Amino acid sequence: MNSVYITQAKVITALGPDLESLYAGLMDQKSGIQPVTRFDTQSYAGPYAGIIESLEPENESSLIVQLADMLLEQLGDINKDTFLITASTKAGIDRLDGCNGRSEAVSKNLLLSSLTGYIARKTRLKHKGININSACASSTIAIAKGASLIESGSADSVLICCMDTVSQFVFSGFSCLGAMSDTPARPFDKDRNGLTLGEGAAAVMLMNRQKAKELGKPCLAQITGWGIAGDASHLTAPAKDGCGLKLAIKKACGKAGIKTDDIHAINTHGTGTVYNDAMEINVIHDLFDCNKIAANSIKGAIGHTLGAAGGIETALCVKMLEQQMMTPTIGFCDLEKGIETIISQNARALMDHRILTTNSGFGGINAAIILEGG
Amino acid sequence: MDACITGIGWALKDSMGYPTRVHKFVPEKGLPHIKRKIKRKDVIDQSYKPFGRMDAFSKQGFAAISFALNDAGIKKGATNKAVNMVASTATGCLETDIRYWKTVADNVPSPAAFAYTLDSCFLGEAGIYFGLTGESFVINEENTNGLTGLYFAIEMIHSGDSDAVLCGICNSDIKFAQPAALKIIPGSLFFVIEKDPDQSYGRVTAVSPEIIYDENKIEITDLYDFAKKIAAKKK
Repeated sequence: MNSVYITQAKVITALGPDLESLYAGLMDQKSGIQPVTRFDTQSYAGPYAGIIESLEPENESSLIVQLADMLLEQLGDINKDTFLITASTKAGIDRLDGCNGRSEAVSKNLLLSSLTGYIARKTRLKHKGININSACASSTIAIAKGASLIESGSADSVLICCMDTVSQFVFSGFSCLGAMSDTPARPFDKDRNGLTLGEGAAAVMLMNRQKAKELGKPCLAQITGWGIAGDASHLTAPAKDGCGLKLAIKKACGKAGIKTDDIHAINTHGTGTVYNDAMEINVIHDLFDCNKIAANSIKGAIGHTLGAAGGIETALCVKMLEQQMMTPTIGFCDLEKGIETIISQNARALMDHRILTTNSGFGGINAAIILEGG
Repeated sequence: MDACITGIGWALKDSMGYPTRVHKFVPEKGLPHIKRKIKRKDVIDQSYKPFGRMDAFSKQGFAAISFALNDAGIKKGATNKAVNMVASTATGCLETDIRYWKTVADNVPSPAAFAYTLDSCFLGEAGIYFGLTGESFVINEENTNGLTGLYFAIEMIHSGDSDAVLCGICNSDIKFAQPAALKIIPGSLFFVIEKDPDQSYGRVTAVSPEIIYDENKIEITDLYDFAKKIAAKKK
């Protein structure tokens, strides 16, 4: 079985056009969350989102195409045999404006596979690629599946491109579900009342060691474990006991050949909703030694980027391992009971060279990845 | 890498069910709407409130999964098996997206409609009803033949990640502005694959990039064609 390495990690978020600006912004406790001006938010629960300022509606094309172009510019040339996996939950849904529910022919550009095909053509890859869609765990699962392909020898290099934008479609939806906060999100705050949406993109290139050496690419971090599991509980809310997330984490630790006690740093999903954050606090207490664990959430700074969340957070973990620092968590005022010593608004040194990153989504899906390096 | 087919289930325009229990739909004028035809009592035995709230895309996917599990003899809440789910789709839940967007245009965004605007929702519902806590994800591909999903499923069995995998296809009946480029069969078809069962429809072997059906040594090029060939066999 082959080891899996990350050889490139690129992001675009509300805190800036690359990974360096994301890391620096988080370390400076900055927020990229601002009132949305792209559409009227007056009838929705709140006005805020993590917006990429350079994304502006143009002609008839979707913002997702602009975002994809910006991301691909950072990547440069890609080996043509690379297997492509994209991860987006709604891709070009902002172009749904022309469809008002009557029986009209719709454009195939609305399909998620259209984004995958666009990226495959721009990068001139031999394979058409696939999109993996599993709600807010999409990119974490895409990275896990990419890692499986490398491990089994089915592929030597896999490119995971993850992205979602802030559209009125999704904004109105989370608002009417009662899941959106009227203020910028406050992960793990005792008075938190919902998430803030965000937009973003990430590209994570995976290779086996031989391919990385052949192409002269640095091994920035190793993915040593991954796990995916379902709650089998509720469509839009997590299981209170976090059974699915616990199972995913245990699977990841099993694959990495470690015990949960060997984890001392967690990048959480931390959306700022009442139920998600409560579930994650339960999981942390059940699985880990709370005296020897530090955790963070970045969604108070850039919003919840849906299909891109796991990819952005994995890329950030690569940077955190390189710098041996855990970035601050911003947005909260008073921490929920039980998480006070685990979450901090200050940067902290990592205790070792390993980070667990997790994401959870609608349908009760949970995914966990363990990275080592730095 | 190989695995055995132990269950087949489908919900299509002309019929739904599994090989030993087929429910044929009576032809109607115009295009039949799958949602009106799929009744809870024809799919599952026990009451399940969310079934009535599901959109058409989720209902047909849920139905095909239910029939496939029945055919494989995997009961609701069977905790002795780790069951994963992989679904391929070209259309995704775009039909549901359009229906939700109309409620936004009418200034009354519907939470009940929005809750089903993710392609993976029907996998979540199947997981909840049948107690499936394994992996689940959707693969979006144009002109899907379902083979990428089947390849991932065989790999999961081979690696020991799961005891059984539900893999299949689910597509809406939607009209595209570019019809010539897309050949999509509306409806849903799912297989159950397992490692070494007592009875099966036969073994499938993945040798990248091909998947071979061992009984006739034929290459599988499309899940629908494959299902028609093996549904006539007895396990």
